[in-house]
Amino acid sequence: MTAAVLTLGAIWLLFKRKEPPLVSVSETLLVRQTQELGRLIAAAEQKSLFDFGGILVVVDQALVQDLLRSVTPLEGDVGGGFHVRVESAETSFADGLAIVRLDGKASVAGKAASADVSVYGAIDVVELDSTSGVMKCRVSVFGVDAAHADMLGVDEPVRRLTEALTQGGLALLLGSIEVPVRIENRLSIPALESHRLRIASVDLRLQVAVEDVNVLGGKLWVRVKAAIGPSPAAEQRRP
Amino acid sequence: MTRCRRWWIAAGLFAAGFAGCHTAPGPEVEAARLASLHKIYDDLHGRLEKAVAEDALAKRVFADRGQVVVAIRSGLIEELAGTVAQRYLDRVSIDLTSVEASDEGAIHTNTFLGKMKVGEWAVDIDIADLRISLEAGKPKVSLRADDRVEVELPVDVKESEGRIGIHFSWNSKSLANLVCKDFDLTRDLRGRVLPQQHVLSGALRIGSAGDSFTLTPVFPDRKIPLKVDLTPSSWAAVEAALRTQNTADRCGTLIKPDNLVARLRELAAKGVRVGIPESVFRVARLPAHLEQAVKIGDRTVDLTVKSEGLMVLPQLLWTSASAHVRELAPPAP
Repeated sequence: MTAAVLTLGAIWLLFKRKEPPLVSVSETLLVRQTQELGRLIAAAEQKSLFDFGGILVVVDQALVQDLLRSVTPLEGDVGGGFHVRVESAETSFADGLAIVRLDGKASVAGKAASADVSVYGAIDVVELDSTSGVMKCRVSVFGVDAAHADMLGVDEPVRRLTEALTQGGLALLLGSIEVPVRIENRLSIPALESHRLRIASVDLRLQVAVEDVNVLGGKLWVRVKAAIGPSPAAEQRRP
Repeated sequence: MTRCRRWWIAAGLFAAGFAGCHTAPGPEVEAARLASLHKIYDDLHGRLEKAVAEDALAKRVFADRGQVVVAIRSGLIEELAGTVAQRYLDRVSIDLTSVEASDEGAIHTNTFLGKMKVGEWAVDIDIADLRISLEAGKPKVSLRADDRVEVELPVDVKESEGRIGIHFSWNSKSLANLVCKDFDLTRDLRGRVLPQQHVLSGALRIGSAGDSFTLTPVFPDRKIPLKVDLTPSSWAAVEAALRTQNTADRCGTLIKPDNLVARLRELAAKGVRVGIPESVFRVARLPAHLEQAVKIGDRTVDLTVKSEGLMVLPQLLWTSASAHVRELAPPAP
């Protein structure tokens, strides 16, 4: 209860203004973590934080960081006339947020100048690919820090770059991040046909979906709900 | 931080919020606001750390060396294993051709010299053409600590009919050998498998094969006593065949056809031990896998994924793996 009141207070404090100011990335981060911490503590108090019914997948931040670093440098147009080159990546999975920080340079098309930028995002979607069952994450941008952004020669460069990245720019540049876990929605055993033996195939349909994601202690905790689905007609007993 | 103090901070935040609606905050107010936010954050962070430190599952995750942990509830494993076993063995058809069974015995009679063995008989049953169908019932399944899912699966054998060959032989002994001839009878008869239920007991051993988790059937005793019978007309044919030997020089009277038929019926009722072919028991893969390559956007990253262990814990199947980037595959042309 107290956690919820404190969290509400923090949210109110940040968003109370009539004219939204350009809130610093660190403050945005602090507010979002405070929100998430309130949620995590409420779950911990109800003993449901680590409770799961089907499958739990835990992914370490170091693995995601290694994966991101393996594809750097990474560059491309991100919309709004901006071009971004990501040179390094860092991850920090704590206090409810799976933060991905991408450092590099941003430039504007047709201009030689560039500015050092840090793009802050958070993994906000974890899902299973509907075809392959591979677990994949998507990153949303929540802030950009830029040193000497005025050198880019456009008005409000940070705000415009943030908008460009938020509105599909980061997806163009990075896309989704797969983690090396696959949870299939079927369990199959092929048919067997020999002179002596005839066994029909088994094709067990499963209903699998990411149920909940928590972030703490340097890890992404993904709860996957899994249940045996209804038998297709072909699976029914023979007449 | 005491509960009362936290309430005061929260109240202060609200008050500061209302005040800010009317006036632009100065740097001192901003600093105070951020300081309050940090205090709230620190307090919540400390509480979460304490909650996490007390949780057994979280402690196990943090103690694990793997970068990826996959834990599956025993209930799900049991449900999967049971359902797969049931559906798999629910639609099995086995050809029993060439399955054989045999029995033998000796016949003694009282003579003026005392009790004497007059001969030995043997019967060989050879299934010529008979196929059985299995239907599985609801299994009993339980995950055991030694990486095995124990399974007890009731299996119904459906009634079916086919051809059964019977070969009967008589070998006279001792004095009877002087007057009685040996003989052999072979008949091709109609037989049937009676409807019956058996329980297959065994286990599915959980293992990891490369990047996937497997369930390997371990059923040491694959033989079931299959109860068979002859059709009434076939029994009549057997009895008639034995009676054809009921002549003075063949000693059919010593054999007593009625008794021998009764013995054969006992043999059929006891069941012919039929082994379920080993190829029935196949490995199934659990639907959770570790991948050796992933995609980041449109780039493929090859990984070296090494299992850090697989164990059955109370209520859980636990596995973890370390994964290292091996190389970045060249971008697609």
